[in-house]
Amino acid sequence: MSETRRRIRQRIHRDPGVHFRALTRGLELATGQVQYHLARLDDITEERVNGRTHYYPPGYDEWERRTLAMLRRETARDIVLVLCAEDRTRPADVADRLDIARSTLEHHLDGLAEHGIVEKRRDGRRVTLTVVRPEETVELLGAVEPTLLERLTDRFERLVDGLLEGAAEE
Amino acid sequence: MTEPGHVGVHLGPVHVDFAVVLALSGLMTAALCVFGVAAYRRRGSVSYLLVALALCVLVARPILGGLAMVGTMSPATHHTLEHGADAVIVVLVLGAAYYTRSVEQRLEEP
Repeated sequence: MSETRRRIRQRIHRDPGVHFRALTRGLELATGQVQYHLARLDDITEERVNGRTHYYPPGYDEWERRTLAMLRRETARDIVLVLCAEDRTRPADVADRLDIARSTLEHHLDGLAEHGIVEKRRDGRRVTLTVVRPEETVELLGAVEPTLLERLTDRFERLVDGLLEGAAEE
Repeated sequence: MTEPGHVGVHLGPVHVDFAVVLALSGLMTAALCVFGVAAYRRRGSVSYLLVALALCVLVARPILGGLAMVGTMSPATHHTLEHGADAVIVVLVLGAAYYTRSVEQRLEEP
């Protein structure tokens, strides 16, 4: 396996559900190069979720793949985090907690409900939100949340990128 | 060490405060080096390789200091190697900056 292909594969194993653009950006590779190698990686699964293509190592079923893709979106992930922390939550409370507009919340809830991650229950006129599969969802949140070392490495990378670009522009 | 104006705590032949500073700087540069190597493993670019190497050379400095302190290395050798390490670090970082630009140009090509 070529070095580039190995790195793409490694990245997908480390970040299950990573989307295409994040893959090219993170590896400093051209779009065509990444497409070429992805087509030749047999164990990698591809899933198109709400307009973005995500990539997965083996071992995730369809629900898990869709959930991972949604959890890669920051606002959707924040909403799921709030819902996991509290049992039954009203939409207004979630919007308040995250300081997002109600329309933003509804937009993300539509996606989360469509993929069976969050459920809207109507109880007369009151709507409550619940996580459909709490245990599995928390587990997948763990896969998406970077570890402390990974987060520090991310920041180190950003720092070096900034410094080197600054130096090269001089 | 008996140079004029020298301040420090000594425990027999061991120069305590110097040893502490060396140990701390060794640990911290080693931690920084871990990030450098991890970032290189992720990115695989020449620039990141050079930055990781520069950080590895930085780790060598407290080690050289330690060797000089316990007397394994003469102060003169220590000085030469230490300033040599500085020069190597500068060359590596300059190289990293140089390669960043060439990578950008390559990526911009259609």
